[in-house]
Amino acid sequence: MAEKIRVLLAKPPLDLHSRGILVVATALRDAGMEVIYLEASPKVGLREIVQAAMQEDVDIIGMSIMSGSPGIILPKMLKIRDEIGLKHIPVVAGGIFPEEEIEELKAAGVAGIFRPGTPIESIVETVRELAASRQQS
Amino acid sequence: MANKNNEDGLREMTQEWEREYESSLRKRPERKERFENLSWIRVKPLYTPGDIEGLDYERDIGFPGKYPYTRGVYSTMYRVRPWTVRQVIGYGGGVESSQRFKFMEEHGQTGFSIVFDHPTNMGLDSDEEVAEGFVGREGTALDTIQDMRDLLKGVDMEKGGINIIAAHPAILAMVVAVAQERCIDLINLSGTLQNYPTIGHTMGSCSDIYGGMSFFSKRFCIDIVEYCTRNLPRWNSVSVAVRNTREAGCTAVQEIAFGIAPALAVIKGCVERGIGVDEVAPRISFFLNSHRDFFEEIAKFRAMRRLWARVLREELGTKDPRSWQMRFHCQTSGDAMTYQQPLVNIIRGTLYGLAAVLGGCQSLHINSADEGLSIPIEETAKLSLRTHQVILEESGAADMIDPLAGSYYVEWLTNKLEDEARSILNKINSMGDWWDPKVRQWVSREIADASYRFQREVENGERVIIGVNKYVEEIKYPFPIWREDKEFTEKQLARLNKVKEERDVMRWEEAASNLRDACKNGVNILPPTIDAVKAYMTIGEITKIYMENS
Repeated sequence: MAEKIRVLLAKPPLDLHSRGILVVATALRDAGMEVIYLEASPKVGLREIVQAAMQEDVDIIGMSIMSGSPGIILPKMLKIRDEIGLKHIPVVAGGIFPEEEIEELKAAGVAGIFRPGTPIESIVETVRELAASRQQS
Repeated sequence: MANKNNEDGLREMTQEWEREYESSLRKRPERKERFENLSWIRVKPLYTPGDIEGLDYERDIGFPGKYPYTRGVYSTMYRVRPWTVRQVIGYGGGVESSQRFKFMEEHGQTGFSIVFDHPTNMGLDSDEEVAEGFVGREGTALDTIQDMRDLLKGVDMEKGGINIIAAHPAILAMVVAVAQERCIDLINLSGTLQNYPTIGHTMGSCSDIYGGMSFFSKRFCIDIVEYCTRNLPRWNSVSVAVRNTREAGCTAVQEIAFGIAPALAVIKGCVERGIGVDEVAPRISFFLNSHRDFFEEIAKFRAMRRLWARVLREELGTKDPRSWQMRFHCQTSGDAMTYQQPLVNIIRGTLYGLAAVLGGCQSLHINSADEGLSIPIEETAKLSLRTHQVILEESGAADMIDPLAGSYYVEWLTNKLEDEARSILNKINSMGDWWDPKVRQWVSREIADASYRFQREVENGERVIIGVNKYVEEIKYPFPIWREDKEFTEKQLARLNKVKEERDVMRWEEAASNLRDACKNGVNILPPTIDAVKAYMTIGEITKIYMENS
C-alpha cells in the first residue's frame, strides 16, 4: 500500500483570502491525506514555501492565489523550486486565473490549475494522481 | 377572557391548518427535504401570531429613532435622507482610483469609499519583495502622502464622509494631513476607519494573521480612538468590518455576534485607558454583509440593532442614546456572486441591496456583475449605481420605514437571530474577550467549520447556486473582463522613488526620531505619525518604526 500522501498547501505572502484553501485542506484531509498548511504571511515568501516543501518531504505543493498575480508569482516559484532541486515535486494552483494565462502557466510547468467551479472531488483526484506518480518515480 | 378565547381559537385553527398541510404532503411531498436558512435554522411553512407570543410592541419593536431601534436608528430614515451610495473603489494608485471615483460620482455615487492593496493593508511599501504581484491589484497602492493627495483630489472631504477600509494609523494620519493642507477644520472631517481587532485582515480570510507580526495592536487601536475622540468628533474611529468575516464563511447569526464582540472589546480597552463608554460608543459603526437569504438578512439587521442597543444600555449602562444606535454600512456579498453566468449577479445584487435597504442601512455598496471575476469595469460599476437608483426611486421600497415590521415570520426570525447571537456572545464572554488570541482562534475555527459545511452542501446539491450546481452552462462572458495594467507596479515604484529622492532628509530624520520616542514612551501614536507623513515618510518606514519600538 502506498504511503499516506503528503500535501503542502500555501498562499503567496500577502494573499489573504483563505476561505477556498481551507475548504480544500479539509477535503484533502478527509480523503486521507496529510495536509500541511502555511498561512499567508509577509514572513513566508515563495522561497520559504519551497523550503517547507523540502523539509516536510511532501509529494505535492498546492498554491492558492486569490489576490496576487499568478503570472508573476507561479513562474517565480517554479524557478525557485527547480533551483533548489525539487523539480520532481509537482505544483498545482487554484484561484481566479485569467483565461488567457492558463496555457502559459501550464507551459511554464504548473501541473494543474483549478478555477472557480471546479468540484472539490476533482481537486482531490488530481492531487491523488499527481502525488501517486511522484511516489512511484 | 376574550383574549384567552382568541388565543385558544387561534391555536385550534393553526392545528387544523397543520393537519391539512400534513395530509396534502401525503399526496405530494414538499419540494425539498429540509427548508433551512443560511444559519441552518429550520424554517416552517407558515408563521402566525402564535410564533411571536410575548412580543411586546413598545419593548421589542418600538419606533424608528427610539430604543431599542429595531425599526431603524433615525426617526426619519430614507424619507428625508436616503442611504449613502458608497461603492468602494480601489485599484492602481491614487491617480487611477481618483479617476474611477469621478466617473462614479458623475453617475450618482454620493459617498467615498476606498480599499487599499494588500501591501498597504499590511503596512508595506510597494517596493518590498513580498509585494511583488500585489501592487495596486486588489485595491489602491499607497506609499506616501502624495498618493493620498492624488486619491482625494476633487473629493469634498467635508461632505459624505470618507470610508477607509484599512486600519493603519498612517492612513488616518495621511487623511488628517491632507485635510490640514486644505485648511479644513478637523471638527468637520467625517469618515470611517476600520480600526478593530479583526479576524484576518481582509475580506474572505478566516485566519488571524496578526499574530504579533503586524503593526496592529491594542495600543494603536485605542490610540486612534483617543485621538479621534479629542480631535475628530465626526470621525467613526472604529468600524467593525464583520462583513468580511461573513465573506470568510460564517453564518448570519455568527455575523451578529462576531460583530458585536470585537466592538465590546474595543470599548473595554478604551475604558482601561480612561475613555468613557459614552465617548467611544457613539463613534463605533459597523460594516455588514447582505447575503443570499432575503428575509434572514433583513431580520439580521433588525436583530443586531436591537441586541447592540440592549447590550449597551442594559449591560454597559450607557446613558447617551447615540451609544445605543447601531449605524452600519453594508456591502452585499461577494462570495455569493458567481464566476459562472455573471449577468445573474445583477439579479443577486438587487435582492441583496433591497434586503439591506429594508433592513435600514446607512450606506450601501452593491456588488457588480463581474465581482466573481475581477474588480468591476466602468460599465458594471455603473449598473450597481443604477441598482441603488431603481430601489430608491422606482420600487417604492424606501418610501416608508421598516415595512416588514409586524410580519409574523420577520419578527419571529428577528427574535430567533437575536437569541442565538446572544448565546454566542455569552460563550465568548465565558472564554475571555476578543483581544485574547485564543478567542479569535476559536472564532476562526467556527468560521472555517461553517464555511466547509456550506461548501459540502453546495457540492452535494442540497444548496442550489444558479449556474454553479444547477442550470449550468458553458462559461461565456457578455462583457469585457477587467485587466490590470501590467506596467502599473513600475509606475508606482517610480512615484515612490521620486518622493524618496525629493524629500527633506533632515525633516525625515527628526520625524523618525520623534516617532521612535513616542512608540517607546507610550504616548499617543497619531500626532507623531501625522508629522511623519508630512515629512514624506512611507507607510513601510512608519510600520518598521512601530514594530521595532513597541
